[in-house]
Amino acid sequence: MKKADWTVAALKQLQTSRSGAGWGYRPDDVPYVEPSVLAGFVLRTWYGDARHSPAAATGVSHWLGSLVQDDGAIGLSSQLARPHWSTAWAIWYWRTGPQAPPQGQAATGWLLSRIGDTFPAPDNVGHDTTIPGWPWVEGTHSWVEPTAIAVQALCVSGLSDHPRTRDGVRLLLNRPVPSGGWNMGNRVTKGTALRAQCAPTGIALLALASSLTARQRADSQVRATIEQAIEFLLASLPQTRAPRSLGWGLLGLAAWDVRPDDADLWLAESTAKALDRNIGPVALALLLLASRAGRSLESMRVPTHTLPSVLSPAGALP
Amino acid sequence: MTTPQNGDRRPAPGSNCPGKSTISRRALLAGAGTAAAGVGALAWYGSDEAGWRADTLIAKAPQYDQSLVSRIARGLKELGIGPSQVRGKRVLLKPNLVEPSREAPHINTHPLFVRAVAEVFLTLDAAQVTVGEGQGHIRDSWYVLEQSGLETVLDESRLSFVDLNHDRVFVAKNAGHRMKDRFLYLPQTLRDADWIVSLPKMKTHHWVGATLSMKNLFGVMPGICYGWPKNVLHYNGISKSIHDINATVRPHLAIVDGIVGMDGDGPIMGNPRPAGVIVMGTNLPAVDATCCRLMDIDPWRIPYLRMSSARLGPVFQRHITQRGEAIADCRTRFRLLPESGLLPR
Repeated sequence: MKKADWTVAALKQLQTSRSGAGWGYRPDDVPYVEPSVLAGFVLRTWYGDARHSPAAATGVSHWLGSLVQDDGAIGLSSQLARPHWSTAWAIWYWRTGPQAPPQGQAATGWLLSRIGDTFPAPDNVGHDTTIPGWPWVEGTHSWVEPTAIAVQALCVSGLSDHPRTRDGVRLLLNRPVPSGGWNMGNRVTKGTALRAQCAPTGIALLALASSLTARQRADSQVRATIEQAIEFLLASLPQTRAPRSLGWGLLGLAAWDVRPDDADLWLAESTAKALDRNIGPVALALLLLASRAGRSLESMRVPTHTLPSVLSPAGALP
Repeated sequence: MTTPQNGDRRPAPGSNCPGKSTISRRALLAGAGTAAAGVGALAWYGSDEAGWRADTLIAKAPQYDQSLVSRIARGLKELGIGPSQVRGKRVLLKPNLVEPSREAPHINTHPLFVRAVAEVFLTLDAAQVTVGEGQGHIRDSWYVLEQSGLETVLDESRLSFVDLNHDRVFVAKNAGHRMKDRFLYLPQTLRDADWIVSLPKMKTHHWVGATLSMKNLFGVMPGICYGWPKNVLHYNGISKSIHDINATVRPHLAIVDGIVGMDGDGPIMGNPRPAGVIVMGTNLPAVDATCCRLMDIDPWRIPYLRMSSARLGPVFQRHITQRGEAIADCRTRFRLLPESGLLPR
């Protein structure tokens, strides 16, 4: 299938799966924050820049505003007021759109005030448990994905230098598995190194592309972390057609100006399965975003960077 | 069949998924909290096990092949499960797909095992057989299916799959009362099922000794409410969480894939351990206790089994009627890590 064909089909199915003001995890579900934000990013990418986004994308922004609680936190949906890990997603969306609602400030304040549980590292743990990132559920430990999304949200909010953002970056740099790339956030358990996964690796790469300082970029250890993660994705993505893994993986690579030659083929194959199974808006949104990764990142306002000394002009690892 | 949940209700606007429990700040790694929970359970079991009695069945199965269908069908028949119990019912199969890797197929319930169980239920005239999983270490369910090989089997067998991590959720009263949380968030698919069937892999577990049919129920808890990993459950204490989830969900049947299990650093990084058995039964503590004996592990050293004695089922061997093969004829020693969360003898 030609790229134009499958993206049109995917976009059409994504739009028809809209449920009220947003999108759910399942095609017939009530709106949830995360799938609505991803679908909103797709609309912005396809139909114009943030200032000319279609009504549905603007509608998502308003709907997210309606979910803000008194303390600034945002639940998963209008029916599930907790946990609050979706708050960072809403901030990310607002701050990359035409105008953040008045509640956006409170939400950012809430995000800055929340810290994942820290404690002295027990034996046989491979990461620094004292670095404060963000948890999935308040009161529990910090993990890669919620921390990466929080870092992303704070960077697009102009808070790249905030101590909490730097904490989050520190956590991400502390959590790659020994062989390269990230998983949920456990490097080593009981002395055994764990495996990386594509989606968390893509999300972490995206967040680090937005947040690393010039000094950090020049650091050999940080550069090695990025290189290893890119290598992991380049080796792993050809082996998967799972939409979330493929989509986040390609977006993470694009944030570092890397695009595998066969990416469009993989995306077409993955989209065909996703359409056939109607597996939901998140899958379609990520595949669509990855299909136009450069423009998607622009609409998500992630500053893209290159590592000239690491990457060749063609974007491939030397 | 009765409906599996008790006192459930849909979430009202403003509902909360479970939040922090203050049991153990170190519970990220669960060991300390688990041990404490297990010691606390010492006082809870009674030698009479409150009249609990259960049947379990052991069947030899040397490999993953077509003979699994007849072996499982014969086992269910011996347990009294036939067309009259299954006809027209909706069956949910819950395999263990915690973190798949093509290089380590022994992590997961084998795809051909899942297919065999599905075929048996369809032969018994089930109205619908669905496979559901809410794996704890990775969000991408389709990656899990792909890497585990289950996707191909689902396609070939035209079986549907439900991502329990991102399913609709409902609130159920916590019927177990060991965790601090008074309510549990559960996927709607559980409520829609007449038969909830746990299909675990027979594995050791580096925090709680063994992961079998009861621990497998961690994988019904929706990740959108509990996270990846389901850290809330760790903070509550793994064993207490296992107890309460089972008390609340009340699964109807367990069929354990012990053909090739895992020992050592389970549930992910251990070694393949061929044991050549299938274990099944309608009472999950009894099934898991039998599995432990097959693995040469004392079930009373497993914190959640000791906690479940007299509450959810029998653990004493004398209270479990053993059908099929004898334990002594099928026992395979599963190696445990030095510190695997076992209670003292």
